[in-house]
Amino acid sequence: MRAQFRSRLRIILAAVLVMAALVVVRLYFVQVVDGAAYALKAEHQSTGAGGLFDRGTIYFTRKDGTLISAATLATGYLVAVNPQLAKDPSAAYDAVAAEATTSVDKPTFLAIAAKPGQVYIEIAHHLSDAQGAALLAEKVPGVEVLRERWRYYPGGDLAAQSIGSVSYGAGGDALAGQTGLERQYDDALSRSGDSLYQNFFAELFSGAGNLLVSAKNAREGNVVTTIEPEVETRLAGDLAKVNQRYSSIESGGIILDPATGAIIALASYPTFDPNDLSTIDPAVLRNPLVENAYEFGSIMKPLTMAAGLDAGVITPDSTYTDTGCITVNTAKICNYDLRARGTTSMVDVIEHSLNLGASWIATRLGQDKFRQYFTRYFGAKTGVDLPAEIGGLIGNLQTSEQVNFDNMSFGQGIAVTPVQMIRALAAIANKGVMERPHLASGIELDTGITRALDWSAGRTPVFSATAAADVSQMLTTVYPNDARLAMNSDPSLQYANVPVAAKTGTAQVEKPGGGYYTNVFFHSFFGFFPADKPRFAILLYTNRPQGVEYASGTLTGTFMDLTNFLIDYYGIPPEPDQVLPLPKTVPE
Amino acid sequence: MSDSRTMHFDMSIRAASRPSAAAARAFPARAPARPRANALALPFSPVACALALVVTLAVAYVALIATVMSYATMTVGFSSSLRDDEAAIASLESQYLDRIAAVTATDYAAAGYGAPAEELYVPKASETALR
Repeated sequence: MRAQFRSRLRIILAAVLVMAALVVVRLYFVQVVDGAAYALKAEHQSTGAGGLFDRGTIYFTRKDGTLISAATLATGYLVAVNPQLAKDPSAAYDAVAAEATTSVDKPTFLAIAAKPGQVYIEIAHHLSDAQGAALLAEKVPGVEVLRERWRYYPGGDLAAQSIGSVSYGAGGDALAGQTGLERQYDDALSRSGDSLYQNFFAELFSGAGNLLVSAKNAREGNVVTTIEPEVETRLAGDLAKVNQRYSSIESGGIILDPATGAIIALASYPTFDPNDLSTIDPAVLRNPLVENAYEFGSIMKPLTMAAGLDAGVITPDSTYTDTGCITVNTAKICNYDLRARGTTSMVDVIEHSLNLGASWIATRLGQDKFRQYFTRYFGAKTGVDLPAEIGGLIGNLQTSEQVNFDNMSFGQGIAVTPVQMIRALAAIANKGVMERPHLASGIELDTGITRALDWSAGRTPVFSATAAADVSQMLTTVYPNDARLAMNSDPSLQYANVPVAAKTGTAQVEKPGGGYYTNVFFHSFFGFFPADKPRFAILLYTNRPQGVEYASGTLTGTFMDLTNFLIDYYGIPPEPDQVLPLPKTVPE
Repeated sequence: MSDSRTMHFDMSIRAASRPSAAAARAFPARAPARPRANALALPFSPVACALALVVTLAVAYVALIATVMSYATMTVGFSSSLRDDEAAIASLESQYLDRIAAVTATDYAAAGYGAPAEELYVPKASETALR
C-alpha cells in the first residue's frame, strides 16, 4: 500500500516537472526568441506620458430614439522623437512632417532637442491609422509612434456652446469638461482609468462589496440628451442665414417641448468647432442662451396679458381707449406707429402689439401684483442643466415709478436670458405651468442601465389654464398677418397647415450710458403649434440686424421654415381649414 | 550424553509442540500473525505528504497568477478594441451629420425641384421618441 502511494506521488511529481519544463521552454520562446517582437507590439499599444484618455459619450437622440454621438472619442497615433536615439533629429523631424502635420515647428523642435537630457518630444498628434502605419513602416531611428485617444465631436459646430468642450483646466494636469454639458456632467463623463487594472482576486478578498455595487459604476456613464440632430441642424442653419443676411452681431434660438421642458434644439451664432480650439476667440465659448440677458420687447406682452387675466383685473372682452401716446412720470410711451386706435380690445393689443394696451393692463394690475407675477416668471434661474446660467435683470420690479412697470409690460426695462424667456412663454402652451428646461434625459451607465433624470420637481404654476387658453387664442391672430408679409417677399414659404400661436418682438437696444438707441433693435419671435395641442415652442432672436426695423421682417420666414419642417419631420397631422385668411384692413 | 538428552529433549519439545493430526483437523492452521502496528503511526510518510501539499500549492499559485494575468490582458484588450470600434462608429456618425447638413443646406428650387402639384395626407403612427 505504501509502495503504491509512493508510485502515485512519483507520477504526479513527474507530471509537474514536465509541465514546468514546458513552461520554461515557452518562456524561452516568448522572452528570448520573440521578445523583440512582443516589445514592439507593446510599445505600439502604449501611450505617451499620462496614459490613454478615456471619457464617456454625450448623445443626441433622433426622433426614433436612435442615439447619435455628439461628443465621443477618436483613436489614432501621436509621434514623439527621442533625440538620444535619433541619429539625425532634423531628418527624424522631416520624416514625420512628410507624413503628418506637426504641432511643433522645426526650429522650436531642434532647439528643444539640443538641450541635454531630452528623451521625449511630442511633435505630431491625431494621426490616422494609415499615417501611423506608414511612419511605423519607415522605422526612423528615434521616432516613436504611440497610441493616442482624444475627444472628438462628430457634429463639429452643432450645438457647440451647449455640448461644450474639454481642455486642461487651471491646474493644467488633467483634461476635464470646461463648458456646456461636458462641464455640467463632468462627474459622470470622467473616467478614473483604474478599473481595467484591478486584480479580480485581490478585489474579491479585500473589497467584495465593490464587486457587487460600486459607487463609481453607479455614477460613471454616458449622457443622453433630448437634442434631435436633424432639428438642431435645421435651426443652426437657419440662424446662420439670418445672421449673415442681416449682418446681426449674434442670433439664437431654442425649440422645446412645452409639456416637459425637453429642449429639442438650441443654437446660437456665431459658433465654433470644438474639434479645434486653437484658433477660436474665447468669447465665442460663452453660451448666450443662458449667460446673456436681453430686453426682448413685445414678446413680453402675452405674459402681461396672462397676468391680467389670471388676476381677474381684465377679461378677454375688456377694452380701453387707445390714444397713441401717453405720458407716465414725465416719460412718453407710444405705440410703434404712434397711431391712436380709440376703443381697443385685448385681442388687438396682442395682434397689433400695442404698447399702450400693455401699459393699461400693467396699471390695472397694480405694482404689487405686477411684481408678484413677473417675479414668478423671472425671479429665479430656470435650473437648466448648463453651467454659468445667470438670472434676469429685474431690478426695476423693486422700484415705485409706474413708467418702469409700463415699460416692463412690453418688454423694455427688464432683461432676461433666452432660456428664461421661452420657459415663461411656454407656460401659455402648457396650461399655465412653467416646466424646467433641460437637455439631458438620462445617464446611460456602463452596465447598460439608463438612469432617467427626473425634471418634474422644477414645475412652477404661474397662471391658470383658462388664462393660458385665452392668451393662446389671441396669439393665433398674429401668425396670419406676419405669414402673409413674409410670403409676399418669399413666395417659397408655406403657410402652416396647423393652427399656430405666435408673437413678434422689436426692442430698442440700451445705450451703454443709459437710454436707448433710436435705430438699433433687438428682434425676437416666439410661437408654438399646434395651438390647440402644442407639441413645440420656438423662440428666435437676432441682435442688431441691419436694414430692417421690425422683427416680422427678419424672423417670420425663419419661424415659418422651422414650423413647416417640424410638421413634416414629426408627421403632425394637418388640421382642416388651415388656410391663409384674407388680409384685414389694418396694415402692419 | 548431555547432547543426546538435549536432542532428545529438543525432539520431545518439537514433538510436543507439533500439533497432532487430530488437533490439526480440529484447529486448521492460521497464518502467522503480523506484528501489531503502533497506534500513532501513519500509513504514509509525513514528509511525502508535506511535499505533495507544497507542490499542489505551487501549481495552484502559478495557475492563479496565469488566470489573473490572462483576465487583465483580456480586459485591457477588450476595452481598447471597444474604444477603437466606438471611434469607427463616430467616424460614420460624422459622415451622417455631414450629409444632414448638406441636405438641409440644399436649395431645392435652385436645384430644379418644384412644389408638389397636390398633397395628400394619409394616417400614420407618429414616429417620435418625444411623445
